[in-house]
Amino acid sequence: MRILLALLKKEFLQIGRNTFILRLLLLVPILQLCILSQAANFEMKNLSLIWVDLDNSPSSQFISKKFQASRYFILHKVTHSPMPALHEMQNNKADLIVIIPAHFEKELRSGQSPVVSFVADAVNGMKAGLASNYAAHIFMETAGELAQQLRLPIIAKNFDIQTTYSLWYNPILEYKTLILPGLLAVLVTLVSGLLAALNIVREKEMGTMEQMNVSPIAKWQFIAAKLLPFWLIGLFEITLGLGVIRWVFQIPLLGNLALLYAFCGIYMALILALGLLISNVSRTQSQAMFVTTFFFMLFILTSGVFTPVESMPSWAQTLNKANPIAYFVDVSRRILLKGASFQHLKTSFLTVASLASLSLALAIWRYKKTHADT
Amino acid sequence: MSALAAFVKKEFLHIFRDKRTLLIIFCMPIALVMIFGIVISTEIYDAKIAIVDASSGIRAQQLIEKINASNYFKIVSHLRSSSNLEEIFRSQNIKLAILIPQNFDKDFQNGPPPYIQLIADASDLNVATTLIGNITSIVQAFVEENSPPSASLPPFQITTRMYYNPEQRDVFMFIPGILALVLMIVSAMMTSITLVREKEFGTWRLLSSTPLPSPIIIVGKLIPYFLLSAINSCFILGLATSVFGMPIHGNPFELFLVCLLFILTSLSLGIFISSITHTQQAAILASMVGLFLPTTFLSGFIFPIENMPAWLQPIAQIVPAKWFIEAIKRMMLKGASLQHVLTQIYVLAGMTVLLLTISIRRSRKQAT
Repeated sequence: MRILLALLKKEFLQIGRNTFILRLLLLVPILQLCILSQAANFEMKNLSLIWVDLDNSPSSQFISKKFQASRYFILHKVTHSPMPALHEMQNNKADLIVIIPAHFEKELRSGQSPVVSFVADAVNGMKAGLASNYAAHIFMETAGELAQQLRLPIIAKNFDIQTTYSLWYNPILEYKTLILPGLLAVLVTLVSGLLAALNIVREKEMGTMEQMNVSPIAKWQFIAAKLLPFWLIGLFEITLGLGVIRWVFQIPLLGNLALLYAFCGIYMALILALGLLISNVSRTQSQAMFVTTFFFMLFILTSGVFTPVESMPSWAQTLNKANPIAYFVDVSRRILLKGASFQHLKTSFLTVASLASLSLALAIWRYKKTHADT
Repeated sequence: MSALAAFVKKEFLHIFRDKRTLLIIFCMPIALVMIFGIVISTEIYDAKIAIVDASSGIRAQQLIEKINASNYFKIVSHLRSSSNLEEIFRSQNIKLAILIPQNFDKDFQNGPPPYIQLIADASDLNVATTLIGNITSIVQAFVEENSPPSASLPPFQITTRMYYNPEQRDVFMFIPGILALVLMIVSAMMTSITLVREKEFGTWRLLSSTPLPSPIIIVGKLIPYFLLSAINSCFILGLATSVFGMPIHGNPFELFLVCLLFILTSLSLGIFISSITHTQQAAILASMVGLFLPTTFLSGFIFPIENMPAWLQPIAQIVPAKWFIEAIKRMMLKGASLQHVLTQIYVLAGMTVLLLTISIRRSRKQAT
């Protein structure tokens, strides 16, 4: 026990002396949560619209007013021929072009059902789809009012089913609520996993590992002393992040925080064990960095932080059963946003716990004092 | 010159000896392209839902069957009342509940238009919106099947053309970002690490005592990464065009030139980071925070810059990858030539010069 304490003291001293990394550890989570959560937004707004009016009638102007009033579109330009509009789109100035055909109002009056064309810049396919859906929606909404204005016979629908909906678990209806717990997961994982992996390789690279190996320190003592500081740093980062979520973003933390910390404790053990495994098989820090970045990047992208897990093909969802970050993202969201209890999360807890003990065992077994093979 | 050649050869030997890193340099683009091309999509299939059917009539049954038949939804729970719906949301992790009221069937025959109520788990707002959209279109189809044919035309019709990407493939939007990310990792992160490594180990002194002038040493260190990145960019563009059929409407040679310019910008970023850090760990973390995360989040790679709040948009302008991605998208999908992307080229070139000047100043100060 004394040896362990001495080792721990050494590790803390070493970490504490590196002020650059300490500052990074303090500032990064706060900055990243504040900046990235604002950046990570799929909600489309400020779509740039060009209105090509070949009709120039009261009706076309009436619809154009509706577009200007909508919160999705910004009317960038009104033209009377399509060519300049297409040119603007080429220069990234327009997301959507709406072309009102000539004789629009006349055909509308005579019931000929004129054809309105949308041209969307589909470089971003999702944005293009949403933009044209929003625009079609505005047109359909306007149809009734327009019919009234022109005194057209209103086409009554014989039959309809109305759908109403309510949205749960996200009272302020913001993407941020969802992205914040996910971002926290990403940051904590990336920072502490990477630091743990680098720390041990650094000893190897600098040659101080040899000194460790000839000292009477047991395997488990060395590993515990290496991992414990980062485990604490990880939990500290989580606390910091939760504070930012609660007080900067004013998002209520609904669930049981003790439960969340219990999960974080197990999860951090898993991430650190993975970091340790990587450091065992790496010779240099740059190698460790690459392997860590590579795997963590794959984990993050498929974890459901940014895109829903449900939309992935089923084989990818199966593979995801071994993705630690996916568990953390899911559990933290369910605890923080839905107030889930242990009963609901038992499987996730058990899976992460077994993954953690498996990789810890593997890492300890793989770590040899005589590292001739690495 | 031969001294430089020998030095470059030494650096190459260093790189090739590290098989694992080399493997990752080329596996990373493949994995990223596959993830963005296949795994990540905005369509949702087999979403878990619950049905609360208070009517238990025939019409309601038909609607439920129609929902079940679509591959968008999977009904995991069938209830009579909504009393413990909240529990179902938590325990079965359903994304949506459909409530059919008691008089649904009666209203269907005669009476006010029947309604159904949806309750969505909006903790993922995008999922919720997509699912509600899917249900609405199923209900619409159901309505059309069950209503008498009407003779009247809709007041107007709408045709939509999707320019530059008719099939709305998400992967076309991601490929330029993947290119930026990989080039950034290989050129900027790796160079900053190798340069700092020499400092940390003290071997930089050894190198400076050789007859090679120090700018030549740095150039010698950069050439291998420049070549590797150039090969890698061809590799990624090849993957994009062959596997996903992404078009290159512009001139491929000009496209390659822009890639080379961005590689230079990344290399100068790497030099800059190595000039402000002293240990590999610090360099790695600085590149993580200063390069990797901004390139992923602030460059318009995944998240459109127009959606960001006004105060964040100027910050996005100083991310080099933003300009590169813009240029690449326009050249590949819109067929722009070099003249059309001059702004982007000037900005990238300006950033490169600025970064190099600052790093040279800093290293001179350190040397004296």
